[in-house]
Amino acid sequence: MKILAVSLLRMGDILMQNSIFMGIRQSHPGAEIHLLVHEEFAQAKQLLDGIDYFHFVPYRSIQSVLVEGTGSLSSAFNKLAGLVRFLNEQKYDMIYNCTHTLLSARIMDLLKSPQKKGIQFDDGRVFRSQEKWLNYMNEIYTQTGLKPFHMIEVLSRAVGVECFKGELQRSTVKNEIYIQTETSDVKKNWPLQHFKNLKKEIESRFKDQRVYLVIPPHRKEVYLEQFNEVDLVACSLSEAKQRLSGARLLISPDTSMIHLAAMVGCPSVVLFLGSANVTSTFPLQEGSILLSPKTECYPCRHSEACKFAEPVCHEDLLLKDVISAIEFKLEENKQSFAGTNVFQVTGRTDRKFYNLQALTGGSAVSNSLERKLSQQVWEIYLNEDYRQPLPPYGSTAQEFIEDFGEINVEQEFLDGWLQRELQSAAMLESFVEKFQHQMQEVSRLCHRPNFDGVEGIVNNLSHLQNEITIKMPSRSDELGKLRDLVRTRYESAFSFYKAMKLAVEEFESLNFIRSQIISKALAYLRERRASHVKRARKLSSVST
Amino acid sequence: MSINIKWRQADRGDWVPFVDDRALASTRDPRLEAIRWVQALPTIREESDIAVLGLGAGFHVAELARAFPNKKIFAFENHTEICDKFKKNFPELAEQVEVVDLSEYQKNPFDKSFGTIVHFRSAQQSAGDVYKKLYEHLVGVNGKLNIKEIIDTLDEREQSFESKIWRALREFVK
Repeated sequence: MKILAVSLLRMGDILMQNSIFMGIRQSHPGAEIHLLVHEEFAQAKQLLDGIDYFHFVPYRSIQSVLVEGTGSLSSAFNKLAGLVRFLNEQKYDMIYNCTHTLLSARIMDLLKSPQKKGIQFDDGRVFRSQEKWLNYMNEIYTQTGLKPFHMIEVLSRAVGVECFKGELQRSTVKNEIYIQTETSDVKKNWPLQHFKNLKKEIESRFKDQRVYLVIPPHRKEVYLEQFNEVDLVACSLSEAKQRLSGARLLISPDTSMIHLAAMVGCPSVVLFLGSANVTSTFPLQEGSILLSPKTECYPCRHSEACKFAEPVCHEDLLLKDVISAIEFKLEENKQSFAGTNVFQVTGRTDRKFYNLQALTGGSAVSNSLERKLSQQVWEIYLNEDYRQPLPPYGSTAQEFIEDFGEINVEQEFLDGWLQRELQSAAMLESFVEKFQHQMQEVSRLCHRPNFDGVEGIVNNLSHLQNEITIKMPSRSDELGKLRDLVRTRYESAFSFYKAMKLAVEEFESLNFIRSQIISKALAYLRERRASHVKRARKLSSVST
Repeated sequence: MSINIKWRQADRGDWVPFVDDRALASTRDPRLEAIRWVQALPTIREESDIAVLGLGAGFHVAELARAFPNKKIFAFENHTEICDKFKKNFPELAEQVEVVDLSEYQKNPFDKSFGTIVHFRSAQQSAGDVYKKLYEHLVGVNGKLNIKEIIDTLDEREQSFESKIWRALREFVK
């Protein structure tokens, strides 16, 4: 059996997708697995172990022909056509597109295979899948904000591959800590001076640890202005992989290095800044520590420049909290954090999804609870479990309480949070009624051949969804489709009605599932509390 | 090219060329086919000439010339007999339309820049590869044409391997 995986994003994404490639290997042990990546990331060949053959898209050379005119257009044509013909000669039994770009969807249209998974065009038309996870993936990639799932968790379901499950073999751990300071996006970079101070602090607190900066060789001159040469490890990614496999810890912003560390089982403390989304691109490794600022505009859009002269979030991520996180990781002592959101990655081994357990109070706890609940709501919806005769609301609620009720969330806080969520769900029900009323208005105009008369209703709908987003920003994910639809231009009232009807129904279902889980969770929490009180009374009567 | 071309009358009475029993224009109404073809064309750039790949019965070229009277049209055709027939049937277009016999052009290609290159698929029956190579050649020698303009010349319904490659290439510059 021959399988091709298409991964046409950047190095960090390729490394992050390794758990999917390994999942493919796990489910097809005897298969020949090929991987298609951009030529500039050919180094992946030295980094990924489970791939048999690599193929490369000559992206830069084609782009330079098309943009800079360095060759004839037919040369660009021949390069791509030659690659596609070569790949089709391989006669793949299955092709997985692990990329969510138009380029990859067009390439999927050109590739031949009896089974093609992931986004693709079908003879030039957008492939309309019945697969809800795939549609969900397409929708969430266009939105900002915190996400209920890791990007890979959604992708794996969208392409129908279970992520790799298994123990990583670690080599002997040396007392070495590595710091990686740079990403390709300045918004995501913590200032170099902060890293310099961090290095000094680690060296003074952990005298048995040797601290190195791992840097790309072409940046050595810049680093020599601030650091001693003996502290610098200027190396390729494959050498970095070797070093990390025996390292005690990696400290890094959100870059390919954190996924490399996860691949070799090296623990990491990761700083998420700017557009680096702490909820969706963290290293897939239990125990990783993630820090993100409490800045209002965090996380920002990937494609937009920071609106401030100096990114505010860079200063909102506090040095002392990074040090506390390192102490927590190395010494496993409970730490207090001053002003940064700190999470620990948990839950993969006995749960379907990774959780982010808040190590700080306040908004981090709420974010953590909201992420878990949204995850459960979406999972039931996307798997269509809510259509079953006995939907799994009870077991889901139990899992929710078990994940948070015994770790670091106080019972009263959890109870209060759930009560507020239940009220929000009830409020959203009234919004659903308003949406439906507006849709009835649209249905009256459906006989018209044009869009006349619908504009006012579109404004009302837009106003309603804005109102929800402002009151309940955490619902922006569930409102995504609705928001996109009211912004789209339609030719007729009927086409608008058709699209909106589905979106309103989706929103209604999501809200219903949410309120069911919360009600069950509250009941379960009270039941547990009652049994604790009963047990405590019993114990006290025995002792007296 | 010395291939036996047969001319048969279409339902509406116009003469249509056949190669290997395949018609190189509509056998019902080639004039209506020509009108519809011109209507479906992408935006024609103001400042430069048009290349049409495939001559067939010639009505589409005549219709194009009528729709764009100020444009110079280069009609590329694989069969010498069809080239001659066009010149004979449409003498009034002699100045506006330059018929390019491919067998001559292959011996002595000229370096010319086209703002728009369009296929007339009906006239390319059984010679698709020849026109495909011609298209690639024209695009290659044509420094002024960019990828977006190539995409503009593609019919949306066109889903050949070549069209899909051009559409994929468009994504490299986004």
